[in-house]
Amino acid sequence: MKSFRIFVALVLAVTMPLTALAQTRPAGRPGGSGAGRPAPPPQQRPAQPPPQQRPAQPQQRPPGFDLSNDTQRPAAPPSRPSAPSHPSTPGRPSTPSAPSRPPQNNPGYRPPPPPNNRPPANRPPSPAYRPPNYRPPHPPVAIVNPIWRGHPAWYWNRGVAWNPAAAYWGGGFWGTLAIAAASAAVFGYIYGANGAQYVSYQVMPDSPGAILLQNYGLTQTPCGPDNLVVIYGPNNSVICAFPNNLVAPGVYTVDPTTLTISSY
Amino acid sequence: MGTRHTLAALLVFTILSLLGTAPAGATGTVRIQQNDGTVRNYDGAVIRVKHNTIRVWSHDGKGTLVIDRAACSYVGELERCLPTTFELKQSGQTKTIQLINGLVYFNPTDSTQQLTLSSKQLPPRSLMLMLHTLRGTFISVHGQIDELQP
Repeated sequence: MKSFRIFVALVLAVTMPLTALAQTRPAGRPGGSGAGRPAPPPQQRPAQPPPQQRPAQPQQRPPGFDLSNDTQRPAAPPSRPSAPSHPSTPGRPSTPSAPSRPPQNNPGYRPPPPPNNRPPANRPPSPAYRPPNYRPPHPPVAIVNPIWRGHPAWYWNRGVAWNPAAAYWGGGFWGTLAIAAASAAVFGYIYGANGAQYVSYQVMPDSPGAILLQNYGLTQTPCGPDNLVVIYGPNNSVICAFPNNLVAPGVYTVDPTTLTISSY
Repeated sequence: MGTRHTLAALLVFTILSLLGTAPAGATGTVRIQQNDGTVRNYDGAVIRVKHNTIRVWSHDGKGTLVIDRAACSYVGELERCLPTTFELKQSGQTKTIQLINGLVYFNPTDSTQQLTLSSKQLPPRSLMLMLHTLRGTFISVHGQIDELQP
């Protein structure tokens, strides 16, 4: 009997606070709905503070996340002057704001040249892995990655498959540089057989591309001069490096599964 | 006597479990900085990761951020990915928000990890997410992952 009384007391001690908590949530209800709990008299309620004493918070906070600036249609741009009063000068610097171009994986999309004094970056529109109109003089020869030799696919990435992110240079293989980013460390250019220009950028540390260069003992250098190691990565990206005793000057492609380069 | 006490304790424990306790986790924080400089923080966000999709629920459950990720690689013990798409699910609508760039860091380990070349540390089983939208909004999310399905 005594133990039964202890049990009932424990149950009541646990349930009563929770019941009271549930009753106090609907603050607008006068008196509440719990049994045995008298409602506070209205006269005892403190007077509402004057508006100027309320904490500085938005009057109507929208539910969820306030991203109205990104989800609403932009206002009509102000009317620009139709003709300048003075002759326009080429290369006039514009505001260094982010260009309004969607970083979408659209093969037909050709972004306008960036608003700076650099040469225009005519990125190839097609997501081809190899440069167009290139005919290899011999069958491709793979130079096996000396570090990951004999390991299965994606072993360099702990078995996790690496998939390119279209909006980033090289799909993110050489770093986290976004295609839509206005500023980047340009590392020269490569011109394809049809005259198309491929822009090279600096490889970022700890990227898969940086790991590849480290594995082969290669040091990146700006593209342009002759007798360099030219490596084409995912999404028409290209970087150049000094040759060494393992990798001779020439054109190579990358196999991201094994971080192996193959000559053209 | 001892058996009765044990049974009573077990029954109390069962009642507590059935009545429910505060949701575990929900320690995420979302920080949104608009292009005009205004900043708003949203605490108590719930973060769930399923395969290549990150979902962040607001504390009131009214809004959900959905971010797809790709190009994942490891930097030490941390997993680094790039966001590819960004959506806001709110008020019965799904709106795609265009990104300029972003970065996602995961700490899947059971120990605190430090970002390279940074003093920032990631607690165990947590993530840090940064987005820069086309309209100039900066969004950051950090907190413990409430549910992870690799």
